[in-house]
Amino acid sequence: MYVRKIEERELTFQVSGMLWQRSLVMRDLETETLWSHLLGRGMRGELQGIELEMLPASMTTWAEWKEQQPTTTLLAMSRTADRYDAGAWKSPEKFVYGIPLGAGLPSPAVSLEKLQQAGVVMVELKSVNLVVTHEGKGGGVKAFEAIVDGKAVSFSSSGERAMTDSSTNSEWDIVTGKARSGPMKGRALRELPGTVSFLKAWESFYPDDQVVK
Amino acid sequence: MKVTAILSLFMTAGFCLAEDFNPRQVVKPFKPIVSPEITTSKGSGKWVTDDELVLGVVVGDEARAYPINQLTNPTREIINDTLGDRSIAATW
Repeated sequence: MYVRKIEERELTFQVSGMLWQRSLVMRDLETETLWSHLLGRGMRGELQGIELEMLPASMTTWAEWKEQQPTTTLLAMSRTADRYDAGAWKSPEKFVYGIPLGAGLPSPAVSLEKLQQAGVVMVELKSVNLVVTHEGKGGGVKAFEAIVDGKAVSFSSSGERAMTDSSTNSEWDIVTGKARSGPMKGRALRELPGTVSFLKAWESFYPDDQVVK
Repeated sequence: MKVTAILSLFMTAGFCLAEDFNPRQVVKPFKPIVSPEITTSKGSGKWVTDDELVLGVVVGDEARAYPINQLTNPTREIINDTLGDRSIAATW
């Protein structure tokens, strides 16, 4: 999910029909710059080197989303598939949930297989501390900064839709990132935007970054 | 041994440079999707069911869902949309 505006200029993106590193190349009609969809960066043309602002987007079930956002609107285009039978979840070893943290920071990823098995996965790197969660039934994946009051915190799965932090034993909701009981009750983790991608594509783009498998 | 290690280091380091941007045209460009139809959550059953996945985004106090079952086609990978005061591209 990107903001399609660079300074005051609005861009209109189209699918260029090109692939690079097994991933979609976008083209904007205004400047004809080619953009990497995965990197969100202008790769060739006038806006080469420019990065699009990414907005946090969540992948959840419609029921879950409506509950969180009662006044939501939705896209009303014809269906292209009868059911998204969570295609990625059928071969979870081939997909990752990737979290591009931006220029100068790593872009870690967690395999969907690992998420399916563990539900709550920590990504602990020198510069970042993240927790990535998967709510079994809905198929939703979320990434949060695992930092409370400026300190890195470790989480482990503790029952349905719940995780517990190791410092205070508070219980947190893995979908909303909010603490629902214990000393941290009412606090919320910062959500980070992420994306489902082919494992191989991710590894090609970010050869130096960790994929938790 | 050493030579191989150094070579592979160069190859890895060069991987993300713009000079290595060598995309392949696999299909013709698709017409961009602009100003798509949007509806409210009332009577949404035609568009999405409760257990289906959506890509959800919030801008200010406006929320929008993009049902994955409307996006699973190469022609639908980018939706040029407006939400709140922002111009956004919903991509899948």
